[in-house]
Order: sequence, then C-alpha cells, then structure tokens
Amino acid sequence: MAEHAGSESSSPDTDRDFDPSAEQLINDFDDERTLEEEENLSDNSCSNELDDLTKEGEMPMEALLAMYRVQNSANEGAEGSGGGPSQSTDREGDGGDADRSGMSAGSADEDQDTSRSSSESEILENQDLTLDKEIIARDLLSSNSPADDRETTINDLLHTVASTGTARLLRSNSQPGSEASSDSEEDVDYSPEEDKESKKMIQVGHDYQASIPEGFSHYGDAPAYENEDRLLWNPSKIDWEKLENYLREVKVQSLANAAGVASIPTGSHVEDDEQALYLLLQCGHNTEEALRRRKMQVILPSDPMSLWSEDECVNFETGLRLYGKNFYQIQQYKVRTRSVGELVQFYYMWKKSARHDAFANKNRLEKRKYTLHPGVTDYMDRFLNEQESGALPGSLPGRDRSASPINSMMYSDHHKRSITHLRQDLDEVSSTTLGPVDLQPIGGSGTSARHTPGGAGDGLLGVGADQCVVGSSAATTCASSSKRSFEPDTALDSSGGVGMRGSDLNGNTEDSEAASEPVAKKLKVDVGEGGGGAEQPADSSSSSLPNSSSTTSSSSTGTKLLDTFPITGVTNIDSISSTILKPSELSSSSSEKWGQSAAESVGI
Amino acid sequence: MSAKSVVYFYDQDVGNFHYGPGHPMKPHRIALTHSLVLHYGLHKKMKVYKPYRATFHDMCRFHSDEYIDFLRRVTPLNVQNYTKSLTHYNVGEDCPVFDGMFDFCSLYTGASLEGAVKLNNEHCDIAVNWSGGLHHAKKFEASGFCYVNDIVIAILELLKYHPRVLYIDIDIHHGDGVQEAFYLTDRVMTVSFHKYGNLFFPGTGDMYEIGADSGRHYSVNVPLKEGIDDESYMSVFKPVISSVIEFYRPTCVVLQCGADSLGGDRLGCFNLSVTGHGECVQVVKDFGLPMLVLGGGGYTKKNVARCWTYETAVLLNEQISNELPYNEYLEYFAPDFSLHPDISTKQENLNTKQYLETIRIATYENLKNLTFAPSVQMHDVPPDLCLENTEEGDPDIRPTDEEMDKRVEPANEFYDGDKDNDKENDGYLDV
Repeated sequence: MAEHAGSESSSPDTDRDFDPSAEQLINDFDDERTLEEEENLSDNSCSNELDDLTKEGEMPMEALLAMYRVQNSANEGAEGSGGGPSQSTDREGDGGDADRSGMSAGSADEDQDTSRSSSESEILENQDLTLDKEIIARDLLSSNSPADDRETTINDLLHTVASTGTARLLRSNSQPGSEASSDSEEDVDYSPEEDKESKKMIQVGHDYQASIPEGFSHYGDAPAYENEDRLLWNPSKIDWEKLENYLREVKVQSLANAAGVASIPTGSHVEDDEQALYLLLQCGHNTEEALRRRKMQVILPSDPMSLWSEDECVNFETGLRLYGKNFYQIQQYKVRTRSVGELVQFYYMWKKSARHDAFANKNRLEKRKYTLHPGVTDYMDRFLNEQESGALPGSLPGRDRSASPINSMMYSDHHKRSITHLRQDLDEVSSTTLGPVDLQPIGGSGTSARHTPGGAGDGLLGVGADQCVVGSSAATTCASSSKRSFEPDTALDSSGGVGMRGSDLNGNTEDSEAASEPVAKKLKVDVGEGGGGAEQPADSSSSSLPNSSSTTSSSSTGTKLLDTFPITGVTNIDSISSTILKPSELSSSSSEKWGQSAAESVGI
Repeated sequence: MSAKSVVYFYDQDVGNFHYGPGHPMKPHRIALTHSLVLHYGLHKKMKVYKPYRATFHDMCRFHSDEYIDFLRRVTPLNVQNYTKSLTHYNVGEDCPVFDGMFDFCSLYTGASLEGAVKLNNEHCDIAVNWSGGLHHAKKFEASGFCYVNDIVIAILELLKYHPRVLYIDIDIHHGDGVQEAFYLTDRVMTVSFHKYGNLFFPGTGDMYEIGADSGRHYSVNVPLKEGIDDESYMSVFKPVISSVIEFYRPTCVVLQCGADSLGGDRLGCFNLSVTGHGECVQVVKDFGLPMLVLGGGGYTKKNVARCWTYETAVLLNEQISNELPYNEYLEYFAPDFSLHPDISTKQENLNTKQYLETIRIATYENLKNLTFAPSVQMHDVPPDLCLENTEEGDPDIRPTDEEMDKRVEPANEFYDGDKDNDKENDGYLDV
C-alpha cells in the first residue's frame, strides 16, 4: 500500500486537467511565450494615458455622459455640450445632475464612492496592472482612501512593479492561492488605442447599446425559429409508472444484448437513456411499440466510426506531448482522421483512463531522460523505445485507480463487492509482506494486476468512443504487468514476447516457462498457482514447488487470461472490439487473484 | 408547489469545443452537467430539445455585422491574416480563436434564442440553456471568454412579447455586456451581483452605475467583496430581488447562473456552496414568472456541473440525492462523488454586515425612484399606442387589468397574484 499511497498523493487533484508534469510542460512553454510577447509590446501603452486619466479622474456621472457625447475628449465642463447620437442632449444633461443629487440623497458616502467609481477604477485599469499587482493592489488600496491618494499609490505600484502594460483579463483573476496560476496568469497586450476605448465604464452610444425595436411584434403562423430544432423528449404525455417500466425494460434489454463494458449493470437506479426516450417519443409514447422497435433495431454497441484505433490513440498521445492541449494542432499534424471536436471528446474520456496514467508516468520519466539524451527529439521514437525497453528501473507504479471509490460504486452487487474486498486484501498483502528491494518488480506485478481491473473500471466509465481506449489501456497494463513482473529476470532476452511491444499474456506465460532462472520459474509457478487459485483457492501451499502440474495450470491461466482479455497485442488492436472486456468481472477477478498469489508466494 | 413546465436545451456537440491550452473556460463542463442531469433521471421530466443554431442574422440583432462577419471568417488557420481585426475586436487572449468558434457561438446563442421563443409562445414556464449566459460580449467586441452575447439576443427576442424583462446575474463577474446593451432603456432592468474592486474583471459594476437616459435607475449593481458565503449572499440577494420585482414588475426573468461565484472556483473568490447558489435560483423561481435560465462563468468544472445539475433539479422541484449516480465522467467527481461536497475555502468573508446593509439600503433607495414615477414607467415602456391592448389580447400570463392594479397596490398583493397564476398553470398543465 505504501507505494500506492505515494503515487496517489503525488497524483494530481483529479479535477485538474492534467498530470502535473504534463501540465507544467505545456503551460510553462505557453506562459513564457505570452510573457515575452507582453514585454515586447508593453512600453507605450500607459504614458500619455495618465494625463487624460487624471483629468477624467474626478468625474463621476459626468464622465459617463461626456463619453456619450464626445469620445476621448472628456473634460470636466463637458456636461451639456456635444451631440448625443440619438437622444436630446438637454435632457441628458439635466438627467445627469438630477441623478447626482438623487444619489447623494440616497447614500451618505456618495462622494467617496463616486470618485472611486470613476477615478479608481479607470486609473487602475488603465495602468494595466496584472495579476500579481492585483494582489498587491488589494493590500495597498483599501476602498475608502480618497482618490488622490490612490493615484499616488498607483504610481508607487507602477514603480515597484517592473512590467506594466498588460491589461486586465478575466482569466487573470485567479485566486491568490489557486494552483492553476501557471496558466491563468497569461495576460494580453492591448494596443494603446484599445486601452483608451476600454475604459472600465459602461459606454453609451450607438456602438454600444442594443437597438430595441419599438413595440411588440408577433410571430406569424410559422414561428421563426421552430424549424430547425428537434424535440428529443416530451414528458407530458405519459404517466411516470409506465415510463419507469419502459426504462427498466430497456435497460434489461440492453443489458442482455450488450457486449463488453456495457454489460456491466450500473446499479438499481433507473437512469435516463436519451436514445430510448427519443425512440419512445417517435413512437408516440407507445411503450410497447418502442420496445418492439428497439428489439428490431440492431443496436450496435457503439458506432464503429467512433472507436479509436490504437494508431490514433498513440498519435493522439504523441500530439498531446508535442502540442499540449492544442487540439487543433494535434488534429492538423497528428490525427487527421478525427475532427477537433472528436479529439476534445476523446481527451476528456482519455484523461480519466488508465491510459492517461501511463502517459503521465511516461511523461515524467521522459522529462528526466531528456537531460540524458538531449539530442533525441523524436518523442514518438522515445515513446516507442520506452515501451520496448521494458525494464525501467524504479518505474513508477501507475496510479491505482481500482482503489478509488469509483470501482466500489460501480461494482455494486455482492459478487463484485467481494472483488473489491479482495482487492483491499491484496493491497495489504503487497504493502505488508513484500520487502522493498527484491520485491519491487513483484510489487509491480501486484500493482498492475490491480491496475488491470482499474482499466476495466475505466472501461465501465466509457461509452462508445472510449471503449477501444479502455480496451487498449487494459492491454497496455496487461502487457506491462507481465513485463514488470518479469522485469528483474534479465534472462528474458530469449523471450520475444516481452521484448515485443504487443506481447500478449499468453506469450508472457510461455516466456516465463522458457526462462531458466529460478526466480523466473518461481514467478511463473506462482502465476500458475494464482490462476489455479482462482478456481481452487485453498491450493496456495503447493505454490513454492515448481512441478509439472503447476506449469500446466500456468499455461491454462495464460489461456484463461487470454480469453478474458482477448487482446492480441497493443499494436494490432485495430478499431476493434467493444467486446474486448467482455467478461470483465471475470478478468478482474482472475487477474486479481493472479496478482495476489504471486505476491503471496514471493513473500514466502 | 406547483410544477412548472421546463424546457431544456442541449446539443451534444457543445461540450466538444476547446478554447486552447491553459484556457480556464471549458465548454466540456456542459457535457459534464448533461451527463449528471441524465443519470439523475432529470432528463425525462423535462421537454428536451436539440436546439436551433443561431444564424449570422440572429447574431447581428445585437452585434455589428462586421464583427460577426469577422467571427465567422476567422479560423486558427487564417488567423494571421486578421491581426488588425483581432486587436480591434479584442479577440486573441481571453477570447482566442479556436477551431469551431463560430459553431460554438451559434450553438449556445441558438439555444438561448429558442428559449426566448418558447417562453414567448408560452410553450414552457422555464427554459434552461446551460451553454448560454455569455454576458461579457459587447456589440463590437468579444470580452471575457464571450464572443456573442446570447443573453442580449434572447432578451431582444423576449421584448417582442414582454414589456419588461428583468435580467439577474449571479456570476461573480459583472454582467457588463448585458448592462451596457440595455443601459438606456427601461424595458430591461439588469441586476448584477458580483465581486467589485481591486481590478477584478471586468472593472465595471460600481453601485452607482444605474443606467442613463430612459434607462436611468434600470441598472442595479450590487458590488461585493471576496469570500462572501451563503448567508451573507442571501441576506442581500433576497431583499434586492424582492424589491426589484416589487418595483419593476417584470413580466419575464432572465437568470444568468454563472457558477464562478461558488467556493473554490479557479477564477473566482466567493465562497458560495452549491446549495447557496441554487437557493438564488429557487428564490427567483418562487416569484413564478416565466424564466430563461442560462449558464455563464464557472471554471472548476466538477463544481459547475454539480451546481447546474442541482439547479436543474431545483427548477423541476425534484429532490436528488447527494450521492452522484453512476455516469461516464464519474471520476471527475472524485474523491467524494457527492453532489454537495464542502467547497468552501479559507477565504475570509470581507463583506461585513454593515457593508451589505449599506448596499441594500442604497439599492432600495435607488429603486424607490421607480415608484416615484410609476406612470412614466408605464407609459414610457410601450411606445406603441396599441401596446396595452396588444398585451391584453396576447396570452400573456398576467392579465393586464390585474397588472395595472398591482402596480399601485402594496407589494404583498403581488404574491397573491402569483399564486393565482400558478393555479392557472396547473390547469394548463393537466390538460
């Protein structure tokens, strides 16, 4: 458990978009670029502004009215002059006065606040303070000091703060304590003339207000906007009981038909099924008819077009590495077969998959490696190399997703709950009985064994598009799990299976059988026992004896695992199979036990 | 509590846009919200529409042709040809050019616009578009992640049928775009509750911005300070909204539910809980007026989704459990997997009772200016002579006579009128 605690705590807050390493990688780059631009452009924005602003500084409502009439030539006496675009000027001037008096009647500290409204906000804004300064300003400027003081404070501020000339942005308003400062601090340069325009006041004039059509108008017989929308569901024409029954029926039906991850029940809760409701609507709220049609429909578990091939996944990840979350560039240069929208959709599913964890870990490693191999610029190659080289001493165990509550929430019936318990036991086993040194790889095996159901769990999360990801992520973890478990066993050079990126479990089992090193043998046997243990749990005492029967069970385990993960290798997962994880409970349980007994017997 | 008929707009494409690396605005939060709505079983309780997409022409009802034309043409591919326009229209950093930008605008604007149409036709009592609410966009420029101001366009549509539209904005940022658009008119009253001061975006929203010309006193701003909690917020929200409705007597309400006023928001500094935020929706809903409910800001995705899901339930009068249902994005809601996690921050509440009291009084005093000249309001509002008649013939919820009476009656009479309406609606719904 210890190592998991470690990896969990170092794993990012789940709501953040990215693993820290990747995020930093991306945003560091991004920020610097922005800062440079800023500095190049910053100089001329605020020099002559100050004069204008001090002039305008004292005007509360008048400033506004002045703006209305004479753009950019605001002076204190401007109250009645100038021509408003549409309204009578006299009336407005009067209005301004009336307004002021009305307001002073309304509140005692009007003067102060009014001056604040125009002078402070204008000046501060036009001084273009950025986020950091914003925080300083918060400390320095208490809202009750008079405007003059404020000006000097601002000047002080400007002196103390080296770079000026960035305008306020919405995205720069992050909280002082907010972690995401790296990307929320990006600021822009407004050009000087724009700065003048964007005084932080409500502006008045033809260019700003909406033109409001006079009077009412009525829709004709054909309503203007009704043609292109589509009603997907209308609740008013059916009683709830009938509807609930229908949805339940639909669920049962789809469970029966479903393959792969979809076949896992999601609890007793009756949730809405958009398609089913739409179909019901199309059938005029006739549930029998809708159910009949639904049966007739060959509902593909998911649109084949939406399944991602392994190539696409890999390219996507490479793109992400190269361009950060610039999905447009990823689309342009890496994944031409998908639209940017599909990439974005995929990204959000991918982000919470085991595959992302693997990616983030790789990324972390790569960052470290980069200093060692500065000449290597082809990330793709390195990515592949790493996959192939297999043995990564001290490779970080993937974040243990299966330990997160999500799985216990998803595996809701007893059978699955028992798996969860088992998993917890396993956690304990691996943390308590395994020594840190020679067991590291074994721990790795335990980890990945537990990781595998995690992959399945992510599979549960996925619908449609991500099924393939999940499948392949499961494949990755499988492959890497077997890799890791045999990692220390350097005699594995004979084993093509491990060297191969797409090694399947069966291959691994054979490799381990072929390997002559005692440790490997022991491992192999353990694996076999573990597999056997899935069927005969009491069997574990014999596990330390390498005999032919255990070898047999080992290969049977291999086959069994292969059955449960009908993945033939990472490389040749084409846009296959939503059926990848078909009996996923089984797969998780067996791999679970596999991992468990492996861990146990090594502990002996 | 009577059930209101709710129309909900969602287009599955709307979550698949991305503002670019490091940008805090994530349209995906809409997909997250929808997923929760669906899995909570709220979907089947509402009329659900895949909305109309707004056209160039629709957008130009508020925005300038040149600006919209620019939005339509510019893409990440050709953006370097538009450097001048980028500056001119404030497109670039806060409002980057991203792939599908115009489609995105067209989706969220279309949904808001259609919501307005449905309300006008009385096809529903409440229309919900969580993808809308982009309140910063100006007539000639983008601002604060907003390109097209769907709110203004929707309100313009509402004004075809409604003499007075009330706009309420609980985003942490000032609703400057909407306020500016209707700054000179009394047919739209804008009320915004927001963080103000110390350079907080967008910088407007001082309480002395009250409107101008015929719109004087028809802009209400409630500037707040960091760290406001549920209780303090409600202590100012409720009385202000009550008096606004009492004095202004809107026939329709547009509520912008920016979720960046929640605690722990990436860009915000308030300290509201999901419940507290939702209570604002409840308060407004309880007035029983036709409502267009829109999204807005909100930069901690998981909390935005929680908040808007909860508010969907509030609008539907549904109780939903604190435990989140299984859904494909469940892992985003780790570690608690609940609807109401504690999201409060250590941010101190800088809004003293005294401060809030001062604001409340000032706002109230300001509003009294409306009653001092109610006749001006009434006659000025519909410039068209036939208006009152039109309104009568119009199947507007509140009959004109009643409305006329109520204007001179004390505030509590108003609530009676409302309940009456609810009964009417009940009858209508049962059909």
